[in-house]
This record gives sequence, structure tokens and C-alpha cells, in this order.
Amino acid sequence: MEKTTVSDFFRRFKTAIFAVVLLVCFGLIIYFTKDIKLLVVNTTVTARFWPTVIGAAGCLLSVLLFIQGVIEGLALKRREESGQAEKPPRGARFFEGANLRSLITLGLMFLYILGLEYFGFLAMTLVYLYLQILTLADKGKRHWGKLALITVVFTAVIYLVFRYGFQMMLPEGRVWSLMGGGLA
Amino acid sequence: MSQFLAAFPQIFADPMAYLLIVAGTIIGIIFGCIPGLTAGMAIALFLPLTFRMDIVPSLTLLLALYIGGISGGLISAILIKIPGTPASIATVFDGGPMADRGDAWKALSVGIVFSFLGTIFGILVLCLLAPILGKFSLSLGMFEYFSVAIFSLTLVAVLCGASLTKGLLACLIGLFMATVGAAPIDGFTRFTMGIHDLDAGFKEVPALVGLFAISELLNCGKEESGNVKMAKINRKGFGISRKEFAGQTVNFLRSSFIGTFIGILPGIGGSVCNLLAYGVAKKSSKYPEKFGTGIIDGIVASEASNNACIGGTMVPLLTLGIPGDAVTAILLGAFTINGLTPGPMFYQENIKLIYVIYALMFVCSIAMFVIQYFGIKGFTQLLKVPKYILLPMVMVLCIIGSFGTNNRIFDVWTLLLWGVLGFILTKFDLPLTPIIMGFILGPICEKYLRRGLMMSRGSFLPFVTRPVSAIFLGLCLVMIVVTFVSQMVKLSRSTRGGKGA
Repeated sequence: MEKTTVSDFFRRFKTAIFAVVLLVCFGLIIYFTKDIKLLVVNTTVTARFWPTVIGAAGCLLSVLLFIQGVIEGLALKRREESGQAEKPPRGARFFEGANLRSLITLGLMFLYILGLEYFGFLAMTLVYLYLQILTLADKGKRHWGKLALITVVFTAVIYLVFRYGFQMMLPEGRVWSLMGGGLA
Repeated sequence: MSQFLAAFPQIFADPMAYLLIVAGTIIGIIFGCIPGLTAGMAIALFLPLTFRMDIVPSLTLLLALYIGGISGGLISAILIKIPGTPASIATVFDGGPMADRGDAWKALSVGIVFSFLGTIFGILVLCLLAPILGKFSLSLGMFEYFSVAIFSLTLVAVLCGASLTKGLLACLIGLFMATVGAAPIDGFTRFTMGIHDLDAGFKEVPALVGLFAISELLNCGKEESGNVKMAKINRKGFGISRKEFAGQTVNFLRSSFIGTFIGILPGIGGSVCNLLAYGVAKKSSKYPEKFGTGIIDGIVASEASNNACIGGTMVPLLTLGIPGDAVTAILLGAFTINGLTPGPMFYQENIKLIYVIYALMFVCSIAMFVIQYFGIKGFTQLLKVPKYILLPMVMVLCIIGSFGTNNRIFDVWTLLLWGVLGFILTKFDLPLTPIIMGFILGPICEKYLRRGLMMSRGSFLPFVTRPVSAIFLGLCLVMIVVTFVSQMVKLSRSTRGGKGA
């Protein structure tokens, strides 16, 4: 019989492990409801009531999900060992789709939002959009000049339409304000 | 009827009306189809323009924005699988798969036709039954509102995703996220961790857009960077055959009724009715397993209901002076600026204006239909833009929409937070729709539950003894028990299948 690896265990009992995480989270919700202030006057139902209901229902359902996850995991294990279900090859991703591109995308978004406050919409959008497109494009499709042109035109059009067409506020950027400029 | 017909010359007497209708509808559609920008935002932005206008041109612009904005959401929902507005969430379920397999033209056509018909249905109900419906909505109390909200949540939890437990847990996550910020009634802050930006809680639009758009962008990493295929299709007519159209009659009428009904209940609105109508359509369909794979039934249910909701939301506004949602609250502002106070007396004293409003809604929905129909070709060109270029551009628009909610960067962080949350939860097969439904309905549930319990001095009995409330709660129980039993049977079969091997 083939030895069960840690990766196999996580893959089969993914739901059960997730249920434990949820159980802890819902438990924490119940715990932190004690920090919610209450009215001095006597009321039948306080501000703590609804979060407590949510936490309790969440704990109950997490336990149910855990049981369900264990049953499903054991069934999958049996099917894989008996050859009824195909076992993914070694080194296969634990989560489908969570790869380097997703992580870089997340990082770029984080930096974009962080930079919006300091450098404003125009500057940050130009940088973000260009890098994001390059990240998502396959190697053969990375036409640097063409993508730069698309980035500049799109950013300029969007800026003009929303800022001057719809008169909407866009992040100004503290750095430009400090320098006395008005670049949004 | 004669009063309704007499209202048209009054609208078109002013040549500016044509311009206002066309411009308002186009801008409304643009706001509706950009994720993060909503009809409410468009109306709020253009309200100052109406300050110097008379009441009729003012309402012309605002209603055109409203109708265009609600309907415009279907474009992004179908073409890029990101709902432009909360009212189009359910359009994504079948519109997205249809666009993926090259039926974008058909999906858009169906959406546009039934958006138009849904709006007309809502207007007809408004014309014929407004005073009666207004009184009916007043007869419903805290207990009924709570039960309707719980029913909507249960329906979505049961129908979205394969597991009831995961659906209900997703609802609870949404309900919890809605508790962050000030509590209803007493206003004490909860779970804010000392962050003052959280005192008012997470905003609905960034949360929704983050959940759907950011997770789509993060998931884009796993796909090959290309664009969506466009099959060669017949672009004549409305994209659907007469038989298909006739086959949707019951679905359309039922969904429009749901939309109008939810619309007249103050505070619930379009974000809920499209999901509810979709759920009911799936439940009562002869082929529920096909829902979500790209069938027109899902688009009809969602689009007919969210547009019928427009007529519904106008009922409490015009008959009782109660705005049902943010958009009608702004419309109420437009009335008061012109010295008019909607309410029971408004119906008797301004009957001519009432019919002008009905006629305006009718004309704006025709304008919406014509503009969208002739714009389909342009909209579908969007699919020719490669995904690796389109999605980052959508992300930028989402940022603008989220920032525009309150003009603060915090809402953009909300967008990212919800996006990451959605991305992680989908990796554990948790459906996203119940989360957003729980988030939208959470404050409504809590407010009415607490008010109800305060009224009954802590007793839960009125929730089950009042007929309307009891019916909705009973339906919830039946749905949960039936789904739970059927899933247990499935689980035991699959387990036995494994043992038997």
C-alpha cells in the first residue's frame, strides 16, 4: 500500500481542516462579543445578541461540516486506494489556480492601493496597469511598446472622463499636494 | 388611461426632454455596466444639475439615469462575469457561461428584452395597484420583514453550491461581515478593532465588487491569457426564437412579480430580488441542473425581476413618502427641492404629475431598450479585448467605483479585503453569492429581529404566529429539511460506493 503523504492528507481532508478553521473563527466571534458595549438602560435584546447568534450557528454548522469533511475524506481515501478515483500526480498544486501570477497580481494590487494615497490616481494607474498587463500576458504576447501605449491612452481617457466629464473625485496623492502640484 | 396618455404631450412639449432622456439613459447604462459604479451614484452625481430645473425635466433626467443604471449592469455581468451593480449578480450565473461559449449576443439580447419587459411590468403594477400595494406594505411589520429576509437567505444558501452546510456557512460569514461597525438601534460599534473607518461598517458596493471582480482577476493567473471565443451567430432579430420567448412567459411573470413585491418592501430592493427570482426559477424549473450552465431562464429571471423592482420601489415612495432604497431616497430629495412632499395626500393633490412620472418611466424604458439593443454590437466587441488587458482595466474601474462611494481610500482597501476573502473561500468551494446576500440582508435581519423582540418583550412567538411571517419561516424550514435529507442520502450513497469497492 502506498504511503499517505502530508499533501494527500490535506487534499483529502481539505473540507474538514477548513471546518476547524471556521469553528475557531466563529468561536472567536462569540468570545469578542463581550467587548461590545451595552446600553445602561435595560433592553430585551442588546447589540451582543445578533453576533452571538451568528457565532453559535457558525460553530454548529462548522461541526457539521467537519463531520461531513471527515466522511468525504475517508471515502475519497478508500476510492483512491482501491483505484476507483484517480490520485493526482506528486507535486500537483494543493489549490488549483493559486500560482505565482495570482500572488504577483495580489502584490501589485496591494501596492497600487497603497500608492494611491501617496502618488494619486494618474501616476499609480500608469504603473499598476502596465505591470499588471505584463504579469497576466503570456511571454509571447508581451509587446512592451504596444502595451505601454494602451496603458497611457486608457489611463488618460479614464482620467478625463471621470474627473472632468462626471466631475468625480479621484485620489490626489499626498506627495503632489506637498510639492504644491495638483496632479491627481 | 386617458390621464396616462395625456401625460406624454406634457413630457415632449419641452425639446430638452429628448436630450435628457437619451443622455440620462446612456450615462445610466455606463454607470450600470462599470463594476463599482451604480445607478444610485449616477443619480447622486447628477442631482445638483437638476436644482435649477422644473420638476418634470428634473425627474426626466433622474428616472432615465435610474432605469439605464439598473439595466446596464447586465452588460458587464454577461461579458466579463462581473456584476456591474448588485442588481445583476444572478445575471452572471447563466450570462457568463453563455458568453463563454460564444452566445454573448443572445445573452445580451435576452437580458435587454426582459429588462424592458420587466420595467414595463413594474410600471403597470405601479399604475394599477400603487395605492393598494402601499397600504399592504404598511400592514407588514418587523416580524414579516425579518421572515422575508431569512427566507431570501435560506433560498440562496440552499440553491448556490452543492452543499447546504457550505451555503449556510457562507451566509453566516456575510451576516458577520455586516455586523462590523455600528449596531442598529443603539449604535455601539462592534468588531472595529479600533479602526475608525470601520465605524460605519463595510460599504456594499466595494464589498460586492471585490468579492466578484478581484477573485476573478486573481483566478485569471491560472488561465492562458487570451480572449473569449465569439461563435458565428445569427445577429438578426432579438437573438431568441418565438418558441423560446413564449417558453419564458411563466418565468418572466413570476420573476417580475417577485421583483415588484420585493421592491415595495422598503429597505430590501434590487440586490435581493434578482437572486430570489433566480432561486425560485431554478427551484420550479423542470431542468434545475441546467441552471448555471448558460440557459436563458436564469437571465430572464434576474433581469425581469431587477427591472420590475424599479416600479415596486416607486410604490412606497409615491404613496407613502417612504424611500425603499438609496436611489429612491435621492429621488425623494428631488421632489422636496421642488416643494413637493410624496405621501398619501400627494396622490390626490398631484395626480397629473403622478401620471407624468408613469409616462416618463415608460418612455425611459423604451429609450433604454433601443439604446442597448443597437449598442449590443459595440458591447460584444469588448470580448475581443484579450483578458490580460481587459481585467486590469476593469480593476482600475473598480477602484474608481469603490473610491467614489465615499471618496476615501478605505473603501478601496475594503475592495481588496473582500476580493482576497472571496478568493480564499472559493478555494474551499464556498459559494460567494450567499456571502454577499448575507452581507446585504444582515442589517435588515438584525434590525427587524431586534425591533420585533423589543416589541414582543423578548418573545419569539409573534414570528411564528403572524400568518405571513409563519408562512415564510415555514418555507425556510421545509427547504432546509428537504435539502439536508437529500444531501445525506447522496453522502451515504457515495460512502457506500467507496466501501463496496
